[in-house]
Amino acid sequence: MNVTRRDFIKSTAVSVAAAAAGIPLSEAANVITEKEAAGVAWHKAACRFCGTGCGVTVAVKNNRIIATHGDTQAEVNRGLNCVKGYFLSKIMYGDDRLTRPLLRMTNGKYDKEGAFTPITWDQAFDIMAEKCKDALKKGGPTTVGMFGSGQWTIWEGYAANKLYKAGFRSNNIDPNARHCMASAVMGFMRTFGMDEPMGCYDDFEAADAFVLWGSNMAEMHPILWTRVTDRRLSYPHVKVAVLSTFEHRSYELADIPIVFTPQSDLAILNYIANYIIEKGMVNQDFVSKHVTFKRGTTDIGYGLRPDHPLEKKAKNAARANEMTPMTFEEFKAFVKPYNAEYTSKLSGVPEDRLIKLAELYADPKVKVVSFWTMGFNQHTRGVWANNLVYNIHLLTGKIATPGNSPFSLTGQPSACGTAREVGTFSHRLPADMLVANPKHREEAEKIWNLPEGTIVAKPGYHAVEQNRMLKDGKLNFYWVQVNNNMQAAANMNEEGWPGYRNPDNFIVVSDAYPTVTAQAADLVLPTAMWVEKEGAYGNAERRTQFWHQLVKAPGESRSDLWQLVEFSKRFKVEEVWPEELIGKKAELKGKTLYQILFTNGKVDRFKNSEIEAGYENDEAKAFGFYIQKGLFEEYAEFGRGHGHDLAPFDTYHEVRGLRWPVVNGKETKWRYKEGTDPYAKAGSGWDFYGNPDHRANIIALPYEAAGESPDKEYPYWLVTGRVLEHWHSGSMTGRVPELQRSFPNAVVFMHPDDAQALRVRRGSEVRVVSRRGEIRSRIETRGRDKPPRGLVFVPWFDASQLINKVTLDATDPISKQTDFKKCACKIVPVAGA
Amino acid sequence: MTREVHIASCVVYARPEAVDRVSRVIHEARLAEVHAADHRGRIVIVLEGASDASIVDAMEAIRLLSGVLAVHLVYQHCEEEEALQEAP
Repeated sequence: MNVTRRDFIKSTAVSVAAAAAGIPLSEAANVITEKEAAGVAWHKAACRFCGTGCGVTVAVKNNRIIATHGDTQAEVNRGLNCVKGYFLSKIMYGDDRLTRPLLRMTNGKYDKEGAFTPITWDQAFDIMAEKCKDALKKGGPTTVGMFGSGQWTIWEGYAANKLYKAGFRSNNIDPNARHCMASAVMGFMRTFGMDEPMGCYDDFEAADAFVLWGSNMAEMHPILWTRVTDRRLSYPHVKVAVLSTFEHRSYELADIPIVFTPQSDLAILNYIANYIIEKGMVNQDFVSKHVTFKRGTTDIGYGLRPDHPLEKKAKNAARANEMTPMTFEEFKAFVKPYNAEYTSKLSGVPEDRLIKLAELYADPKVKVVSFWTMGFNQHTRGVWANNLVYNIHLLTGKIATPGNSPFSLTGQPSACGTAREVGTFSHRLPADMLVANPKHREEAEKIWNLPEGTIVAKPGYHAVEQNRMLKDGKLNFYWVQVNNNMQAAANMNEEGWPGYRNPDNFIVVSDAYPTVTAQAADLVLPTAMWVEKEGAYGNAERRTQFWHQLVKAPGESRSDLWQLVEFSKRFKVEEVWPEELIGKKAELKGKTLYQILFTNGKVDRFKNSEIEAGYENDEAKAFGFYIQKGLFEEYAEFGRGHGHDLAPFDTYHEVRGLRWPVVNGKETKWRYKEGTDPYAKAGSGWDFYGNPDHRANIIALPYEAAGESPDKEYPYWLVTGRVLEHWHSGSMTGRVPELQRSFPNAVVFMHPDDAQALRVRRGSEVRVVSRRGEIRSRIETRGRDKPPRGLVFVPWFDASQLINKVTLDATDPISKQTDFKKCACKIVPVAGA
Repeated sequence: MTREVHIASCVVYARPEAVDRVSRVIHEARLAEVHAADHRGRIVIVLEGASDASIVDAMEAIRLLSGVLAVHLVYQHCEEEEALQEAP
């Protein structure tokens, strides 16, 4: 028989899938080793998309990726990928890939109203440096800023953080993770004094019940959902509860399906705490040894501009994050009003379902994992929602042991690894440290070998505030990397667009594609992506994963890392620091920021000969040292020795990731538990060492209404979110034109009875109108998302239907994260459509 | 322009009681080649087509079959047809 390459590839496809499915094949004996499969070299990488952190094996031929498959050795996904994996080998090859720097010009000169014109990198850095220096000279460090991402690799985020906070001495750097994970972060910090989940994905195979609080895992985290599905179908006693404000795909597996009125999740969470106490199911031993009760501040506003009527009305907006001690008896009295009757009335959920849900948590024999993503986090009381779910896990002691896990999932591949762990938020430093804390600044300045006082104490502008300050002309040099915030941020009509186009400002956007944000910029920098550079991501279970550069970026594209570090060469320290500060360390005189930050004897201490043989590394080649390794090892100094330990750099190129803290070469699966966490003291049982008293906080927080609710004029709740086929704003997934067909345009998901009352039907064109703006879209009454009456759901991936003209930029006053899930709108049929 | 060939393999997760029916429908509707299945609800399929869209459309069509809980991609490959005629 004449065997062709096609037959060979098909048999490889079958055998890899069978291995992933755990099905033995008779022809398994013929299975070629991975190295030879398809006659090309295969390499490990981490998926470019969500926070699950799946391992992917990548085949390269002639500097192009021709195939990928789920990494069978990766513990996270065990050979599987979701449909987004299909895009991995294609996201780099869209027809409109940017390959040259583009500046808005008229007659050969920069002009804010000019047309995008190709220029050289040298010219690009010239105009950037000029605009940045102008801003610094006129208004000081607070006039320069950056908006980064949970899609930055670890060293890119670290280099950006260092360049801004230490180099430019501006804390105006924030990641798009602010829109995604900020409430989760503040939830962790308030309850545990330390960020990120205590458990890990191993919890899935040990749990007896799963509760989804505002997370559509079936579509958003399909691989994790399969692990839940496997557990549910293999063990009949396992229960799944799904809560959301509309019915979605995850409900297909739900034993306890619950659709609740937006914002009433706060009441349901308190109801469960009340139920546990009333039924006498509090784990007294655990609570007495490991918990402190606190009362949170209430009436904290909605994170809007200070002159907004809702902010003026709020009594405690300025001290939103404060807490005071309380007793268990006081806590018991606090949650008492949240009985089944009251909670059912507020939430619209029948009492018997509330009881069934509460029983899962109350029953000491049931091990429970709670999941949440944007339903909790994109919430004007998102931090509270996070705290309240910890309350019920802490009351019952169902925490930090296999199968007992409050589990905050993440949306971006390195929201944890880069945005949170590296601390690229406007108030943070690496390893959970804060700019406002003098000891933390001192520690950072010591590691960076910088004079005392280099880091500024005042937190910078957070994401939403950045758009407001751009509009107000207070932030004038602004650099955006790896995200599409013009499309992503709420209220673009009133804040985002006028901010970017303000003539006082110069906006730089680094991207691989001409996104909505790139098109709103003044200078666009073509950027290398994913395996066009050596990279590292950290996923939702604290797993740090590395990959090598596998292909060359097209044209003149360069990585974010190269762009950041190369730009630092343009600044003499005298141009950015006051004389007095330089005077504290005379040897810095006359040096560039590049020399001070990146050739400081630490970042440049590893030679290029240490790069694994057979791999390109364009950044190392450009700078003359193994820059990724140097940055990583310097960064790791922040966390080693106090609970954030990372393994040595080279280890990560060998393994399929490790979960930190990695102590003596061993990863940590369950933190805070004696026996599984090396930092938990002997004899403690549990040790919540993030807090000074080594206890976790149960925090009393009430139900409070949403920032905007439906009324007579705007009678619908508007909820926004994702669909499976498109990842976030669609800037990568939308690049494969044919694939768009499976979900080409956003639609308005609506209840059929609401549609009938409006005299519209499936496919009818409508206007979605709020007090801030409107879009045109089409009605969908069938399909995967089924809203209850009075609520519509609109996905946000579609750049031709920018739903964020309609949404409200109300934020959580503690986390500053926007609530994309709740505002009021009306639906107006388009006549004749 | 040379024709591209797209090859992908997936694991379909179905409710255990629906495995036989789902396998049959996938085969009869020529949505994909069915290579293996087990009583836990897993079905191994291979898809081949001339475009990304044909593969993804088939995956979506399978996902919408009743009894199917998920369709997960495992392997995907895209090359010019000529290269695929060669010996491995």
